[in-house]
Amino acid sequence: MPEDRYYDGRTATAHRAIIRLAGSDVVIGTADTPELARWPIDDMRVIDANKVTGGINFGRVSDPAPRLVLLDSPQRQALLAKHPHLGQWQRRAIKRGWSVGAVWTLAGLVIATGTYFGWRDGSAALARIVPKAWEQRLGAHIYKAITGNLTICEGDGGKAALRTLVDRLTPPELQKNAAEKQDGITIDVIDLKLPNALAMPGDHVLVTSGLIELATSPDMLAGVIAHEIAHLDLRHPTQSAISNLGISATVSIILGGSSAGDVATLLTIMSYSRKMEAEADLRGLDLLKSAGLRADGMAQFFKVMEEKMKSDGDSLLPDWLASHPGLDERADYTKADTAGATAMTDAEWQTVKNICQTR
Amino acid sequence: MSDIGMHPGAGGTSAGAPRTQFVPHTQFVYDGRLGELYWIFIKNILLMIPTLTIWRFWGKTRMRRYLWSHTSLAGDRFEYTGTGGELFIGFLIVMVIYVAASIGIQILAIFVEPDSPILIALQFGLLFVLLYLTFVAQYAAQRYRLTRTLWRGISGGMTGSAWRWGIKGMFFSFLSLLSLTLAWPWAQMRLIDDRLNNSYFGDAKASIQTSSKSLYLPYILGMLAVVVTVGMVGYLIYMMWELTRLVQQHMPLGINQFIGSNWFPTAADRNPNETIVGGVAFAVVMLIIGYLIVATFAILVFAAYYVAMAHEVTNKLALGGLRFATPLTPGAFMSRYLGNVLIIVFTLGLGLPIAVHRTMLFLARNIEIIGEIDGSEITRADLPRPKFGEGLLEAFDPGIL
Ligand SMILES: [Zn+2]
Repeated sequence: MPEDRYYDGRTATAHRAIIRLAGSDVVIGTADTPELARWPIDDMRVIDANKVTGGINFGRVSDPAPRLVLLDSPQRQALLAKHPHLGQWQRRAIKRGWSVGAVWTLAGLVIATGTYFGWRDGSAALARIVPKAWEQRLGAHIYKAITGNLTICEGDGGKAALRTLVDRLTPPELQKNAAEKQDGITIDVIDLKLPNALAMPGDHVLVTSGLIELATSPDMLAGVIAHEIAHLDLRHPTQSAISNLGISATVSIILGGSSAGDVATLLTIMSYSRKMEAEADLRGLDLLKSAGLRADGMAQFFKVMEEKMKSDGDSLLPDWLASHPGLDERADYTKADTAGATAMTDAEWQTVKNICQTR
Repeated sequence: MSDIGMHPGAGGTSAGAPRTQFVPHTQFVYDGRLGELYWIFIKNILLMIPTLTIWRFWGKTRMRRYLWSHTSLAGDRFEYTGTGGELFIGFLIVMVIYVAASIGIQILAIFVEPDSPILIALQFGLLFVLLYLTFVAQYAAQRYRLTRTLWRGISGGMTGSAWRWGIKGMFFSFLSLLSLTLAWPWAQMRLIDDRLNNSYFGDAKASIQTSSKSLYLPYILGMLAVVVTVGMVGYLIYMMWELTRLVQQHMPLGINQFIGSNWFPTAADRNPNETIVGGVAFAVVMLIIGYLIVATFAILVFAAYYVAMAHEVTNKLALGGLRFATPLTPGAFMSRYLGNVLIIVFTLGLGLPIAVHRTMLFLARNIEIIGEIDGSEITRADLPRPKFGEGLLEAFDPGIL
């Protein structure tokens, strides 16, 4: 049978408690000893209540150990009636629960938005102070990882033509510079049907043969390459690597375990925000213009892409779902006149078109 | 309560023999209700979402409060005095250090050759440290729980160093590896002895000196069963390997690197994504099935071993004047563990409170305390109280309890 209990916190003795109220104190005794302890009621707190027995577990604010367990009785009712703060413990516990919950919900939201927005801008700032030498090594790593499984097209004439084009487009700060241990931008064509282009840390540009096939003029290709060089000029690959690293670190700290997992793989998944893509488009146009080349190829290429997507029946994704600006939107803001030289001679363009056929 | 020797002796049949003293057997009583446990569980799950799971430390604490306060011994209830904040801070400290270290190593990996000995040494070092920390964590968690458990106004405690015990654990694991795991039952009992011999309730120290003799027969039989089945499991892994390879063939390497660069998305661009989603779903299902098989197998094969272990520990353990016993049988062991595995897997984790409830009843049923429980001799000991919760254990074992 449950009965009132008093534990003094000094020995593990269960006293059959008998309590009485004396002014602002509760006097705790047993059948043998009228007074074992005297607790000032202001110093009492309710720890919890037990639904099974109906007992309330009291403790003291000033001492963590002693406990008084009281079942429902006239004395307990008198105590609670006289000191309503004791009776309100449940409401206080709930309040505390809500405030802890609210604080951490808020903290969670701050961390999430901070990670989302802060890292984007923060990583842009960080990317600017990452030494070029680090970027080179990181790039070498990623370059190896990506090209290791793919065929690089080595058609001689094509390579030379692309080399000339890249050199024309490269802004001074990215040009080969022995004093600053810079190698300049490398360009490779990889044999892959999927039309795509990629800029990697360490100033590497990759273009797929599928993309070259899709381009109907050298100016379109020049537009794509200018866009990728612009990414490099704006240090986007490094920025994206840093922001991915930060996000994955935050996630793994919150969730526990090591989802920080394979950072190397993570770094290679370079995703750019809409803003970064738009920046690269505009900077790319500048590069084309300052190289004295025709800048209308970029917008044309976006149109070609859009056509291809329509004919492939693949424009199901609404614009805002894809993380890049919409193609027609991009074609619109990159619109340029036909002023400037064409990117390559017809002969050069032919060798580039055939770059994957010749050995 | 003060009536020792007043009961007629149980062994008073043969006249003239000294009267056997009546020794009371006491069991823990768990009177929690499944419905109330579920309510706590559901509230916790709901609060996990907006708090990005950070609530789990407070949730775990609420769960423990409920379980402790609905467990009683000799009519007196237990109380859990830990807080969510303590668990969270402990976890945070460990995670920040761990994530910093692992990212540091991986960044280093970018700057040295992939097969450089420094890198390999460091990666091995990290694995080694992780294994070591899981040992340290067990000891530290036991200390935390003991210091946060109050019964009759007295709390538990633990002496000794978790770091030192961790080294011992590592060394013993290494030894048992050298002995083809044959030393494992012995090592396990030594480690348990160490932990228990450092455990206190108030100033009453637990003492134990186990022998691993009784464990060897069930252990060797279990290992034989493992060896026989290992071929089967090996074949399964081989099949899973082949299937993964098939999945990868449909997802040419290198393509996924391009998804993110999004000059534009095309059909070809998006399909690899779908393949990845499919691959992940496939891997998850395989993982669950694999877990079910391995868990079921381990429970069936090693039930007798664990039961022997439980008997050995309870038979040899003493706390103050109390001794212990357990009526545990392999059948009861299997029904509890298999039941829990099945409940958790087939309810996708939502049956967790049922499993917890069953476990509490299981523990209450299977621990017997022999002797007169009289706490007046046991006094408060004030052993050192760790400030933070089970950070290490929390970091590597995000279980809800
Ligand atoms: Zn881009």
